[in-house]
Amino acid sequence: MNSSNTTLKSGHRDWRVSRRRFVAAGATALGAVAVSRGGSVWAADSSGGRPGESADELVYLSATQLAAAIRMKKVSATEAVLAYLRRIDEVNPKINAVVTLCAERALAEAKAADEALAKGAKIGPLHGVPFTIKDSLETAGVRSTSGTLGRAFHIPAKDATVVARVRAAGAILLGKSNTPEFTMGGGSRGTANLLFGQTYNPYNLAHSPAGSSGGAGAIVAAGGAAFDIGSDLGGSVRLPCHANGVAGIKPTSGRTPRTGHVPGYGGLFDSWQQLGPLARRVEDVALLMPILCGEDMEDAFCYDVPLGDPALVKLSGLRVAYYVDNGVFTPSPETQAAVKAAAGWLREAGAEVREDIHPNYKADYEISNKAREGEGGAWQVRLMKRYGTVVADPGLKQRITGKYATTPDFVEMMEEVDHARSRMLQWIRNYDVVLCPVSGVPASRLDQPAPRDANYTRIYNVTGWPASVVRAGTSPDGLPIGLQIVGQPWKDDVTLAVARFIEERTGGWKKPSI
Amino acid sequence: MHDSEPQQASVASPVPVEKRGRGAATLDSRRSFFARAKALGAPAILAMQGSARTSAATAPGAGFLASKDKTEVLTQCSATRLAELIRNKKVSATEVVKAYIDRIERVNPHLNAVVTRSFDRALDEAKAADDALAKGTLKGPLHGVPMTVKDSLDTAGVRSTWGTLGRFNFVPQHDATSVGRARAAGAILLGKTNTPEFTIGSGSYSVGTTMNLVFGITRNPYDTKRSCAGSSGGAGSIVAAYGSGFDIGSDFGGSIRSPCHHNGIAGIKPTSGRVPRTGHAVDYGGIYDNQQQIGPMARKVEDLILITPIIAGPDYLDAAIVPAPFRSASDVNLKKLRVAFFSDVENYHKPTPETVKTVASAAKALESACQSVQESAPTRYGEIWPLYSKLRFADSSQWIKRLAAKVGTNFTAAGRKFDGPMLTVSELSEIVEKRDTLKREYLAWFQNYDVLICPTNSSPARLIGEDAPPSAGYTTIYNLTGWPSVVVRCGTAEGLPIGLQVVARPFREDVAFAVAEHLESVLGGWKPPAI
Repeated sequence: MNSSNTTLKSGHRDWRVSRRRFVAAGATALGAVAVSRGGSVWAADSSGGRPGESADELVYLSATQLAAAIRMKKVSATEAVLAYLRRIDEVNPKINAVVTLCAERALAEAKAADEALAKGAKIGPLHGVPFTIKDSLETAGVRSTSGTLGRAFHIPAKDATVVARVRAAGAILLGKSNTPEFTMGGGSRGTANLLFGQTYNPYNLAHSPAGSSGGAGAIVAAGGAAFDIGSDLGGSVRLPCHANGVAGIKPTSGRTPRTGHVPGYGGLFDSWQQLGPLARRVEDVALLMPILCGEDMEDAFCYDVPLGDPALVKLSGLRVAYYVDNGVFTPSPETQAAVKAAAGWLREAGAEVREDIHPNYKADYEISNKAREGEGGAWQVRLMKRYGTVVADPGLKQRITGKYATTPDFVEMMEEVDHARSRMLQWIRNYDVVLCPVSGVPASRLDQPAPRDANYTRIYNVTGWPASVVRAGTSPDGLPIGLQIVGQPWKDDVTLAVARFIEERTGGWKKPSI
Repeated sequence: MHDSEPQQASVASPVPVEKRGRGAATLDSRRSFFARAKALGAPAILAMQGSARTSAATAPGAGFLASKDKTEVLTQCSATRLAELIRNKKVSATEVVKAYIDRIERVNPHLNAVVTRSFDRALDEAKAADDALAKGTLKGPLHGVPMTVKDSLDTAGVRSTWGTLGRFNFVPQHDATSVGRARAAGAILLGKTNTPEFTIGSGSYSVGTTMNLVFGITRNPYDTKRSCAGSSGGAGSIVAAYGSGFDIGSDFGGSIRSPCHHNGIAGIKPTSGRVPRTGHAVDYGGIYDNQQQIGPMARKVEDLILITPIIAGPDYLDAAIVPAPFRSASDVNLKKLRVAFFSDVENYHKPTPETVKTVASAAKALESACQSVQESAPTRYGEIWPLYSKLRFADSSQWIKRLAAKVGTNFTAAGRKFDGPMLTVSELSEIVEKRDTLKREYLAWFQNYDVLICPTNSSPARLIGEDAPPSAGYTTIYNLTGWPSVVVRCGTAEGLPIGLQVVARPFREDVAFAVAEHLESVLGGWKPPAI
């Protein structure tokens, strides 16, 4: 059942190619093509050029660069798929990030993609780009367990909307990445479940990849996929981005259709759950956003609101707030330094930068926790029943307390949550972006209980604001430190523009030694 | 935006000119309207017809609409036409405000629709509007247009009771967002219209009309023995009786649409997330958050097209507002629309024969205009109402009790029960999830259609106090789905209006408007009551 059982045929060539070759390719012919597809104008000059990086291998190219290279026939989709499968084979026995592989189908799709390109067929912006997908998202014909025993053998007939959209844009699915049970059962272990076990951090195998999109974060960081799509109910895209040093975004509530995600949307905390991409480079996140977003006429909480192009955002004059300590958990000195450095760079770039935090942070954070806890885990009990799961992961069990609030108290709490949202909205009206930690600490050691670490992220699930993450520092132990960049609702583009700027300064993602 | 449409003053008005001799000395007849225009020194009315545009200084820009209305009686004009007449200096804001004040004085003793008046301020504002226009300054697309506002919305400087005793003398400092926006666009507040306590019926259900302990019962202008419905019943009653250019109501389960149906006017419950609820009695937040919407009520669909975008969009206070684009109704191509209609689902609503007939005539009117017309209702349609009935009383109305305590109301509306059975949080959580599952299924059903036509209520206005079944079955479903729903008068039964719902996909108010406007043009829309 474990992906390490899947072996690739030997004899694949080593698809190590020179950085120069791809940089040259990207710089010359891409502009007109990418722009005409309506993607970010960043795609037009996707020449990389990031300082101090060793991204000279095919598997470490950005998804944007790889798409360009395939489009220009500098590399075939088959070559790209083989390179990634080879990399998965190399790293997955150590990190256990990919839990189901669909190598044969991927190779068949790659062959078809290459033939289509040779014939000059119309192609999408992700033509031939290999990706993995969090196992909580349904994939047609490929086992999708959501980390729960009741779905150990479940093979969906239909792709989740976002999966269908990236596949329609030409991307090729390699396999599924690990998630805790129902994305909620990770506890202090980040990403682990009874089906596939623990996923490990590629920067240090003794550490957690965080969760719940921990498989996604780990495999993307390790160069085993060009991108992944995760889900974020309390930090589940952002925390793995932080822990594994990759880029990602939790889009504004209502941007991405959740159709085909297990657990499904709907219910009391519906607006908290968003899907978002994880990739090594911010430009990839920007490339993916317009492909993923927009109504699908099934998810009733997903709307067509125009998505700005981050390449058009001007940093000069941007109103920036930053905070290093939210009063709930005091971050490590390096984490605080990373936020302050980012603030300093933005000031140099002409932004109006101020240290500030929404008033009543702690109270507003706690009321949403109280409401969630007041629900007593009834939701999780129903999930288990619906999907035929009898034995739950200990992490999930923790959430099933049965300690329900009284109904009048609960109804009042839900009102208070929305009033907190209003208070916070009034505050962020004064700012275009907010810089803050993703977590107080880097990826925690698996043998030591992790401090509760969603206290910098969950509040933005409650507000529904977009929040991007990019690697902005390194801990004394060599672990990545991510920066959270939060924007006004529906201004996902502004957060990505700032993320890209910080990435240019810090180098963003760094190749793990694994 | 509509292009200015030439209007033929020589063609007889489709609407009967109001007769004098009903004790209405100040009422506008066509003649007095003409005479007034002349007295003002404006060009003869024939000359002004067809020129929607004015001098460069006051040239209307985006957000201004040219009226299609040809009504000649000043107070019966659409708000859009009033705005146009004022903008083009064919009539002054002062004249319009005075005409409506006269009309309120005349009809309100019969209706009890307007419960607080701000006439002096309205006259001051009208004078200021006229002075500004004389200097070439136009405040906005509603410059000088008189409006009333439902008493559940706060109005700065004007008593806003929310229909509850605890706020009997409460004068807010701030306008509700929607009110502030309408005023900033130039509208002039005449007064407040009656609402049941907190807009949440209970007590009013016992008599079946808008009623509260502060101001009493509001009546239907087509038959004052009958209900004007609620909760925006004061709004529906006074707009139908042409005592106001338009009103702004709120809709938690049908509270804009039922009064529009009962009083034969046009109105919209916009998409959930369109219009901020800031400053409304039951504002944003909580487990019913997505149900509550604010929207305009007027005599003509063109007024909804004009006013809805003015009050829509984020105010950075209401956190549920989505900045989705507002498309232009005039860009909708009816020929491409797939229409669904139904009047009953598995004998669920039991509509009157006249209601069924009205739906059929609307479907017929759309057959030639649209791509396809098919009888269909959302799958598992009947399952949402039982769920909602449980959800509505999940905490046995403790949230209303809290609201009453917050505003110092000791005696709340008659008929409220706070000691009924409650759901457990676990049950509540499950019901919300089931509701959302149905929402998803309904949305998937809507992939096959662009617009849905159905009744607003099962019957026209009933007698006040008549034992009636709960009437919100047709409307509340669209509070739960969040879809925009326009009501427009499409029929009549024994002199009483029948309004139909025109429902569109989320954030496609433009489609609902275009179809409603077509139905209005074919089936007649609002007709002046005899009152």
